[in-house]
Amino acid sequence: MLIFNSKIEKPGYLEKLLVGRKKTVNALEKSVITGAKYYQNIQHLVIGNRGSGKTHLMRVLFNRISTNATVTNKYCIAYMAEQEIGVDSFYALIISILEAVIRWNDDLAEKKEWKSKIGVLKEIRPADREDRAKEYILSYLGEKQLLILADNINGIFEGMKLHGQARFRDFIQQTDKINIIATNRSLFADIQREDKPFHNYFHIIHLDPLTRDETKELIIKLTAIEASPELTAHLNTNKGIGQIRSIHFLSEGNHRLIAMFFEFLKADIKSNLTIPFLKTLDRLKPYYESFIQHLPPQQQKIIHFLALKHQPQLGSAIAKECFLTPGGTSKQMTELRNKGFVDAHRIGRDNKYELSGPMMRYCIQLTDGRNGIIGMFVRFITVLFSDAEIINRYLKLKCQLKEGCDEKHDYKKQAEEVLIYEKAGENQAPIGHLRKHIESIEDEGTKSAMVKIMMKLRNLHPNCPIAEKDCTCSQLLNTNTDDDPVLKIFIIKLVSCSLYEDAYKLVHYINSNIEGRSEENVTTSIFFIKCLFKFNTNPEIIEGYLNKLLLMPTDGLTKKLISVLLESRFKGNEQTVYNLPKDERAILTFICEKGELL
Amino acid sequence: MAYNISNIIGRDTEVKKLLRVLETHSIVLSSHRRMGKTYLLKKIKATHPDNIVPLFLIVEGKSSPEEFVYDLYRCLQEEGLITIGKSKRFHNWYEKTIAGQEIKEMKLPSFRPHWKEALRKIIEGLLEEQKGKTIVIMIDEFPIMLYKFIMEYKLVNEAVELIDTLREIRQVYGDRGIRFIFCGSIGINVVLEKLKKSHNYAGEPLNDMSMEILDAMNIGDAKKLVRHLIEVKEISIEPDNDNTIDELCKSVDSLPFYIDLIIKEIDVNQSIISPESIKNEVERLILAAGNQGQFNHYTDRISTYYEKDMGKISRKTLNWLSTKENFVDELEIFNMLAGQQKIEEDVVRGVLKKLFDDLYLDRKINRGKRFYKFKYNLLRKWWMVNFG
Ligand SMILES: Nc1ncnc2c1ncn2[C@@H]1O[C@H](COP(=O)(O)OP(=O)(O)OP(=O)(O)O)[C@@H](O)[C@H]1O
Ligand SMILES: [Mg+2]
Repeated sequence: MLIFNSKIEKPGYLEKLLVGRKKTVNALEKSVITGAKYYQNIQHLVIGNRGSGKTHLMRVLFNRISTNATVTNKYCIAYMAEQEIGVDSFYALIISILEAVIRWNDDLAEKKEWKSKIGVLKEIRPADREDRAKEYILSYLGEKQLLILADNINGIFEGMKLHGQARFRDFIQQTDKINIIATNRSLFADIQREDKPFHNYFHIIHLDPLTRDETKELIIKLTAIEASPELTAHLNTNKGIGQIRSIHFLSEGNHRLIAMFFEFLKADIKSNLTIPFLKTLDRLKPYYESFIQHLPPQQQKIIHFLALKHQPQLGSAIAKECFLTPGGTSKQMTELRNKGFVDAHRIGRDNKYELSGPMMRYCIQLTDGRNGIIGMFVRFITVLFSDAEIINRYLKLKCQLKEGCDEKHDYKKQAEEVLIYEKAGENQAPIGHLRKHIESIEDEGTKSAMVKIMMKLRNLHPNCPIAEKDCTCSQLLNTNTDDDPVLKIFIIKLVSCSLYEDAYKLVHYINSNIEGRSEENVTTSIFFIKCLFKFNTNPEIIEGYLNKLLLMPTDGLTKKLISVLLESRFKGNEQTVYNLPKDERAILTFICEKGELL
Repeated sequence: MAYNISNIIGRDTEVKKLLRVLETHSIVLSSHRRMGKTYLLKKIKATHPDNIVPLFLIVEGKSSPEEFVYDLYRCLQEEGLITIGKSKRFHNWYEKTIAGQEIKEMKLPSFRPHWKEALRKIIEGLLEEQKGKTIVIMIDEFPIMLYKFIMEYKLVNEAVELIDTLREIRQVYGDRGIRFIFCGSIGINVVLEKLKKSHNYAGEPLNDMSMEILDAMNIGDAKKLVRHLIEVKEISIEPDNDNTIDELCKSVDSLPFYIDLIIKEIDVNQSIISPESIKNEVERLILAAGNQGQFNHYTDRISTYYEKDMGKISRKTLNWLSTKENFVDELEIFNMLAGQQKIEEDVVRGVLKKLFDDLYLDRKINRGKRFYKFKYNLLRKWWMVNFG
């Protein structure tokens, strides 16, 4: 499982491959450095799922701080990289810490001396040894502080039990010399409950799964390490893009899974991901199984039930199928959520639950002898996630919805055009393409209005960058339009048509337009608000507009605006969306994204 | 152990007050978790006036009175307050009895008389060596140690004896200048209640001590804390003025733990302190799922330490009050509860008093009528989002 630990151990590589975690490592590094400068305590706990890159992150952090004199002058670093096994008391923890500290000590004589001291410690009679161990570690530290870097700290905490934890915290507080940066897979009772010694002791940092772009970044970086031009080229093809999206979906942005998929993908780049997928599943199966085995029977049952259901399930349905009381179910579900196995979506007074990672679901299905179906599913999903196919589906849908539309309408051709437009567009759509886009606007009214404005504008503002062929959206938005509302509106329309990203500027424009409320302005606003959704704008902003409008007299225009806003507000209606299984939701998202571009 | 207290900010008013009380009395100091008790004790330890000899001992992990006594002894010795030569008798006792035994075995009944005697000996020795000074023994997490003796290690008698012995020591040697601060978050009253209810304990072993409660920081200290954290975390603030800082303090009711938390969050996100980032972080804190733990102590406290019925009524009351921003008449609260279940007015009054004592609620008395509301607005908002 430890792909990152095997051949790409070198610090440089690790640093380079640190996709999506740079911010966290930087923040931790800063915390250590300012801690060293100003005598502050450091107590961070990084929470991230299995395989989300915690060990990697700690390794990079250790590399950085252990080579920084500001830090090493002040701290002895106990880097406990491997999961510490057999720490069953505070005494055992001190031994582990001492061993970890001297492991990285370059002074050979000192190293030897301390090794033998640890040997002595192990011989001491039980009643005395904890005190002696404390003395030893304090004398080792001298004037310095101790900084513990510990992976999967829950293992240590569980081993020490409450008794050991309490003694550990007593020691920390009594001496004021111990700092900890730790990781764990999930939050755990020993830090969450008020009657536990370490309650609210750590500052908690959550690691988010990688986004689609970060997944792409990671795959590209892995490719670069492999130095395979063929693979690099492949990733830019329509199929490659679809594969990256599928990998993101299947891995849920999990570093380890992405790396694993990549291993298999690179071996067989011509494949449709079915084989890499099945191979990954094979590797993962025993891993997931061992996790599930260690769960209480009731939780095993719930996981099994959810795995075999494609759609998210209501808590009440789970209770019924798994013979549980409502109270019992909610307790088990909370635990499963805390352990990171299950996601919950609130629906009215109940929740809908589903397994967090698709891979675990498939592993369980595999056990049920359904590999044929799973293989088919992945093939399907890879094709589906490719741009061409998503646009196809969208246009088809749209065509079906339109009354009297010819089924054989050539949406394939249209799709290709869109693709070309998109490629050329990216974020910095040159005006030439925008013009082309205006021409393709279906609504004749809007189209002619825009063409008209464009002509007018040309005459009024010969110097406006619009005249230049390669003008970008940001240039346009920076044009001073204070004294010319027509130009302003035009620019917004233009920019809204493009793939411009800066939603906040748009919001600003909309604000001033709604206030004005001439017919022209309000229609334009409707247009912009629709555009806003392209940019995934915060629902609060929409809510804000709604409230503002509700205070205005209700004339036709306002009503129209309100209805648009309401429509957008309920767009992501959770009740219905969460009836769909996760993969279909992902597809839907893609389709929506594409659809709105058209 | 000399503590570096450059990161312990403010609390001078509180320190002064405690020192004044210590002139005549020992103290029980309690508060909710993470309020800054330990920091406060460390500040006293580091800044005490000359006529005071302070000792700081944290005891949550102690598993028997023997161990507690032994650690007290060691701590005194490390601080140079007691010298082996002079307390040789204790030392010999230790060598003969405890050393060489598993901690578990130390619970054997035959050791019991020894630890009490040893404790007295230590105190006598200490007073002998530190003549003319006031010795302040600050015992952090004292109630939770007792609670564990009772609940976990089944050392009910020992717990009672320890409480009684310490009382006896205060009475016998108090005049000669020995004071204690028992500090902890669960509140020693919970322990005594437990002993009374389940173990027929009838004493009032703390009625000679002054009960003090540590609350949020005053606004001046809170602002100082923000300034300090900005400096040592090397983080920017925009606009850099008193208003921004004031806003941060007020939005977390000047609770030091949350001030620290908000600034850490902003720092980790590599953002700067601004009215906007403050608002965002506070909102995130409030909206975070219930299991995140940052407010858990307020709910856990009730489920762990309140009697079952009392806990239920307390929860109901708090759930309802969380939706009210202003003071609510006690009678209204009673009506709300009475509408849901059969309940005596006295019971409601008792619950409200307890929640007031426990710092959940703030109280105002107007023309003989009592009015209540949440003490911390931050907690109220969180409570409302989760249970309101
Ligand atoms: N005077 C202060 N100056 C700076 N920070 C403070 C101060 N008081 C409290 N804090 C902040 O609040 C946190 C909790 O403080 P402290 O450990 O003293 O609380 P406590 O009441 O002893 O908590 P517990 O119930 O866990 O023992 C500290 O880590 C610090 O971040
Ligand atoms: Mg404390």
